[in-house]
Amino acid sequence: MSLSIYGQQLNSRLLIGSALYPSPEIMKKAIIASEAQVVTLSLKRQNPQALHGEKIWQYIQEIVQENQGHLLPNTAGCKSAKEAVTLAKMSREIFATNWIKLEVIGDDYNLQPDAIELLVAAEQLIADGFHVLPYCTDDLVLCQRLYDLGCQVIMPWASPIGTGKGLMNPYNLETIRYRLPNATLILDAGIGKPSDACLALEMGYDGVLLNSAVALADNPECMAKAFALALQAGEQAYVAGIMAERQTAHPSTPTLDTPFWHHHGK
Amino acid sequence: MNIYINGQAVTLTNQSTITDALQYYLSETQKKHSFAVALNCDFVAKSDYAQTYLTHNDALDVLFPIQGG
Repeated sequence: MSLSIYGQQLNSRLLIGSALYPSPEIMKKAIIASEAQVVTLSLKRQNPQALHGEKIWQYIQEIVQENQGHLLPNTAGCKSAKEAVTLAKMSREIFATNWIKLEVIGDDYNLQPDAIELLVAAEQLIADGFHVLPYCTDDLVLCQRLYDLGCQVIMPWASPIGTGKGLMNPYNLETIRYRLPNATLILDAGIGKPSDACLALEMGYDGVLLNSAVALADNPECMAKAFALALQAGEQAYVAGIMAERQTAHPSTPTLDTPFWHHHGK
Repeated sequence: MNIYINGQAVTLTNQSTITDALQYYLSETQKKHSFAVALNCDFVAKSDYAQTYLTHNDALDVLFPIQGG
């Protein structure tokens, strides 16, 4: 299996977050078990005495080295295009990558992306040479606009960040896949269980980005393996071609030469 | 003059640069770590720290890598 992100071929269709794990050691085991080659991370203020962040950063670097992976910094917490663009530039300097998971949040309650600010930020970042991976809602027209701006990768949400509610609007997501056949589509946020990830791949999505579903599992390492398997199953199903739904029942067993049928009604 | 570093009020001598502010604010350990800087919400490249002079009430943000989703 191979996922292409701005021309970079990856062996796994899973992109995974580095937050919320019970410990850095468990994070490392879980991410390696997931086989994900793209690890998301962020930038924050840190008081002069705090060293926790540096330890996490060292672990993430080790993971990326071991998995031959790539860092995907995000702009989490940004609420305007200006904030997001500044944070993206800071991330590019630290992490030495022009990939950016662009998040511009418009509502604190459900962490819904601000579509207007997102478009403004995406346009500026693309002009500045970034490879933008925008986190957006499942609005077809917004996805189309992002794609038209030059975002080769589009990341609509399954449901709000951290809810684990899975695919809220399968119809919307299927429509985006159908209407943007050449975009790399990654389902981002709201994934709760491996079957959600499998469903996304069955729909023809190219990948899945998640964090909480693994980090908050009772056993993150085991759940990471479950997701890796679910993604393989979903991709195989998509490649195999899923049967069309039918409205009425059709017997699976051939009816010809069915025994005793002629006794009915006697 | 007074400036703000990560929201904290700091008093520096006039004609201080970003390099001076970081020298004052960061711990010895942090100086060796990866970080990036924004001045009044605009990114400043490392190569510009020594030439960027601060003025009264400037806001400097110094950000470090952290886990994220």
